Amino acid sequence: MSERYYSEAHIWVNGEEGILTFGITDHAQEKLGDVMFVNLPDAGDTVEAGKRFGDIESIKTVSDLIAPASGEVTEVNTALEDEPELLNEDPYSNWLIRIKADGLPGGLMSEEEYLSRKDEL
Amino acid sequence: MRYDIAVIGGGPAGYSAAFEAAARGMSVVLFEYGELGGTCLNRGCVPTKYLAHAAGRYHDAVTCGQDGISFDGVKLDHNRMVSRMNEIVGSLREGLTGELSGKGITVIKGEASVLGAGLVGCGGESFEASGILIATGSGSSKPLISGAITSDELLKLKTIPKKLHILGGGTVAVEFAEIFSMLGSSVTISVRGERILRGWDKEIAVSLSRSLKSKGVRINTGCDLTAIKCGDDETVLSAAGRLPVLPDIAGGLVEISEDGGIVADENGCTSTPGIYAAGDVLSGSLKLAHTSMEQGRRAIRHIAGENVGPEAVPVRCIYAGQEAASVGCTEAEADNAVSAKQSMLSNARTVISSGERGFVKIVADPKTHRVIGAQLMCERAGDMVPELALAIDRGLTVDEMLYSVRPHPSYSEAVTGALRNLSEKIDAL
Repeated sequence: MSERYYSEAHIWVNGEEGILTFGITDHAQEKLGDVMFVNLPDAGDTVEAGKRFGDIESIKTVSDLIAPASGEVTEVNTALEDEPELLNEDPYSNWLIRIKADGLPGGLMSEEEYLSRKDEL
Repeated sequence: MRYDIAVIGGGPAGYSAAFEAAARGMSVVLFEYGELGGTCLNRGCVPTKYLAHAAGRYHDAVTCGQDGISFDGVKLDHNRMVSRMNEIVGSLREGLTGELSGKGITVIKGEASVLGAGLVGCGGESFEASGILIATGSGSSKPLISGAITSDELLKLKTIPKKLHILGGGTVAVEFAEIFSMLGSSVTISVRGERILRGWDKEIAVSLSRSLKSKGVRINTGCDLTAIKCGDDETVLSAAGRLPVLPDIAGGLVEISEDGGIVADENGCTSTPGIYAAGDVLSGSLKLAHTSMEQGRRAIRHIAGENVGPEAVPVRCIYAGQEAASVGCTEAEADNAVSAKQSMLSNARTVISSGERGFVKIVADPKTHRVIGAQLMCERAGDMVPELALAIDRGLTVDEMLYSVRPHPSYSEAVTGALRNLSEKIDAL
């Protein structure tokens, strides 16, 4: 499995063969609290770097999901439709969406950098 | 006999047009071959909302233990429920009949046909009218498999089916799934696509799907509905859409589209001047009673030579346990829009009543700050959405909507919450 990189919007990204996978970080799920609903695009939709591609509702708040890269959505983790709490259980195996993209975008952090900066983001 | 207006069809589009014409001092004749009130009053909106109400009360009775209220045994007499439903429908129909007669509208029971521009035939007699409005509505499409019933027949069942299998995933399917699941049926929905409510905002579709599943409704997706094999003990409802019902119309007077509906412009004008159409009979009709009523009224205003103006933004509602409503566009549909949501989990009235997850989502144009859409899933969504429709029709901005005060504690406060979240987002852009 390729390495994970992190955006300032608390999204992790990893890429294999032109497909990027997005998910939320452990820090994000902790701050959110119990996840009640995950709103994601459909396969075939386009996401744009820096723009909202969905949102996560928890008991406490509604948080927008900001895309770290642009591309066409190839796969959506539909298990999250009925069991959004999976994100609290394991935010790294329970990815959100996969997109077709040409490599990783710039401006992402390594795990070390993210962990040291996560509280200020 | 000569009239200013001849209306064919006594449903929402037809009777609304008749009242609108009578209010302008026009002489009106209305033809209806079945019962006044059309599908809405007799076989649609009214009876289903009654059943939803009654099923909701039964559901409350068996679940109010948490409020310290309990019963020895709650009985359900479906026969009595259906009788009550028929009483209510009958009384509304009587009221409508009285109102039509009170306004001097001539009502003729019979099957009318359009013989020519300005000429209607019924029961061997001819009627001349300067304006003709075709408002003959729609009917359930043929059952997808043999042995399946339509919603008309489901409403007449004397007993609650133990097992109900619904073919189709639109509003009719979802509402009946909710009703009969609350009444104790074991319900399954089978749909062709990847989820129910395909024409709706994805969040509403997924949320209602989840809500139904949590109540024990099974949802099968990606099905070939014509190949479904149902058990002998299953009642099968075919809810695959409705088709326009056309009266006899002399050739060449109106254009009929591929979907079987009459082609008309936003004022109901068909290809023949003086012949109009409104409601479910139109090609591409949204099949909403309130939209049909507006169309009937617009046609009359056009006949009267008035400036009709643009159509009001359509509103759609689902009454299934919690309600859902949609007006204007979703963020995904707009070219450049911003949206914000308020969860109902922090809404006091919601916590008091059901505690169920819901939301109010409002969409705005980030340049003009005007509200351009809203999607709601919450209690009383159907009563909350008119405020958003008014805002969209009048081009109100987020700040203009925020100016007004909404009572506390109310469900409508969530509109203020969503507007505040939206205002913050727009400021941050």
